[in-house]
Amino acid sequence: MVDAQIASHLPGTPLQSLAFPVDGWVAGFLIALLCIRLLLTAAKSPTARTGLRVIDVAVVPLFIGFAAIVYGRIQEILPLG
Amino acid sequence: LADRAGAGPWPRLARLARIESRARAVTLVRVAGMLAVVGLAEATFLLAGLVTGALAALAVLAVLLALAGVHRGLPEGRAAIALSVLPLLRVLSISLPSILVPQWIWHAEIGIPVIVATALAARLAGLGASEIGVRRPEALETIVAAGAGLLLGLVAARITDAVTIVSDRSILTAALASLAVIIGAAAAEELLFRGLLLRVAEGIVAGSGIAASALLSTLMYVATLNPRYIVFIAAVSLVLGVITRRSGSLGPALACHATLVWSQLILWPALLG
Repeated sequence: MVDAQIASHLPGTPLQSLAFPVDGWVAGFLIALLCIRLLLTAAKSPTARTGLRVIDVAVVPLFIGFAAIVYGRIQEILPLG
Repeated sequence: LADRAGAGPWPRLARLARIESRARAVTLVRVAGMLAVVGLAEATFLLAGLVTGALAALAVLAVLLALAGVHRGLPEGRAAIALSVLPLLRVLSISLPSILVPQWIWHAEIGIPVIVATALAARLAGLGASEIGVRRPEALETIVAAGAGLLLGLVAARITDAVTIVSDRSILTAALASLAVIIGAAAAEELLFRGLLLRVAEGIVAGSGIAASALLSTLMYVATLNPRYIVFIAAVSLVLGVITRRSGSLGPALACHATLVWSQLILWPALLG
């Protein structure tokens, strides 16, 4: 799953990691999905319930991924302190 | 059915058959469109690099989630929710690896969210655990498949010139790395490709599910940029699909994939140097 295309372009230093935009997009996408989820929860209709289950397919794994990203970034930054 | 009913005294039946075949054609066109979009995102990732590729994968993920909501309860809705795990996998595989974390941890970091996404997608598609192949396998079949996986792992290690992903010689690290690879790479991919996607594809194009799931798993390996390895993965995916369909369980395919990836990344590089 981690291919040559990815492994050869990974950020090499903590600062490069912080400048890598994909993590921010993942966080932004997760926040957008959570906002839509809140709106659907407020709607309280049968259709909204299906929408919630659809959104959860992305929200739950992205949240786990986001936790791993935050953990990784903290590990990178701590030695700098 | 349409021809026979049209010739007989049941024109209403003929009309129903025509409507059904038209609905089936519409489903096929929609699913083909979804596949094209997923393929386009992978092509963007390959040609335009990590950053643009991640953006494309997030956009495709949003589109597929929207389509899954719009077509809920229909085969194309099930296809959309199953296919949405692929761009999710791509986004996670771009954002999670870090050069400061041992390489074996990457597999667990990416694989665990993918397993969760696959389970949620299967539930939404109305597929139970046994329907995606999570059931007790036949012992002999599983053992033979695991043995075949060891040999295939040797071939894969040779093709990719694999180096071990275990950074030190401690037994604990080797055990954790083995667990991470078996769960994160083998179990996650088997549940997704031979479990969810194979089952959903067979519901849409009966008889071509194995080819469709092999095509999708090969698509995710194109980024290895190694033509021989891509051909190898396509062949292995087809065989694993056939094994899964014949046994009705993911067990043998999972055993084969687990020993393949474990021996490719840990055993053979350690033994052969």
